[in-house]
Amino acid sequence: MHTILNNVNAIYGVTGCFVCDREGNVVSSALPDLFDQDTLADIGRTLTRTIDGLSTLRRGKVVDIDLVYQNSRFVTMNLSGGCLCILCVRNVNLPLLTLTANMAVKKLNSLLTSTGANEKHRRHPWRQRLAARRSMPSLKIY
Amino acid sequence: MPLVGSLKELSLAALIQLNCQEMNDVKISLEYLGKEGVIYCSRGNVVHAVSGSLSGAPAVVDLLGWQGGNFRVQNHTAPTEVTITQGWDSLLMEAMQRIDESGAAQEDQLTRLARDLDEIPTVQGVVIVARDGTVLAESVEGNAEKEGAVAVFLGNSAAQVGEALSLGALDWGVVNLGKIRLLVLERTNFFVALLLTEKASPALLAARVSDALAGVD
Repeated sequence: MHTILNNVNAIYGVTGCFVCDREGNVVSSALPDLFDQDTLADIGRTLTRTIDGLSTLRRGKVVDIDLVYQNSRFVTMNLSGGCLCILCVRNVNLPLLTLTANMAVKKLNSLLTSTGANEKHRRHPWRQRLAARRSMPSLKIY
Repeated sequence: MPLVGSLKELSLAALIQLNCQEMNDVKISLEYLGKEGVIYCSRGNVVHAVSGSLSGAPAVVDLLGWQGGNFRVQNHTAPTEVTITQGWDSLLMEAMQRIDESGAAQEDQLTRLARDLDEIPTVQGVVIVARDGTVLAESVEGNAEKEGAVAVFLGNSAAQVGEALSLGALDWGVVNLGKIRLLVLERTNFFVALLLTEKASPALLAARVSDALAGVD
């Protein structure tokens, strides 16, 4: 996951980025050390709440949120199991950032889905047994 | 001992009326969001008022227009000068009338602004909404209150993120909902939300809206 975030960070003007899960917990971060984990977790919770709230209000899926401040830009991409948050300079090359972020979103979605599935299996061992049974070749009596 | 309280509990108009009817010589000091003002009552009338750079009757109009704040009434205080000579009742009547007129004028201005912005080809609708979610003006097909709620929701979240990361004031924000994008701009007392077409450039529109909003705050 860190490699994916580093790819986003490679774009000129990007300060750093991080991924939060649906509860707002920071899953992975590639931001400079001056941003502490508690602050990022607060932001993660705010943004996941915002995405959920906006989706409910508009009855549609939020694709991304682009916030432009005096000197900075904060882009949030909605993931299937959380969100990708990118902090960059105000005049970042947005088409390039969007392109790279969209690629990152695809990879992160599959990563988060598999992590989520593993987590589900860990919580419910019967799911694992069921999955194992399904993957077994069926026995045939000749 | 001075009387201290909140203007939400006892309005300035009621304070003036009470002190003038009682023929009290008082100094009413007021503060709201860092602003300060003062009104002197003497021998049954308002005789002097100051609010920022305003003095006299215009200061009373300004102070009566405050949406909240605190007051402090000090008894037996002589006015520093006399800038008002009309009776307290006619002063209050005139001030209230001017406040109503200026409120209506701002409402008209916002309605005109919403209509003008909606005429931009890449804009599909406009909602101007107060911080509490009240729709002040709109030019949109569908539910203006819902779009307004989205704007307030996004504005508040953006403020939290900006504060946590020390990013400064929000200039503008865009929510991308697939086919629809919503551009939100924040002003002191309200948010402006514009529904954009796919071809719209949020940055260009934000600059254009900011120009149009100059002087509306």
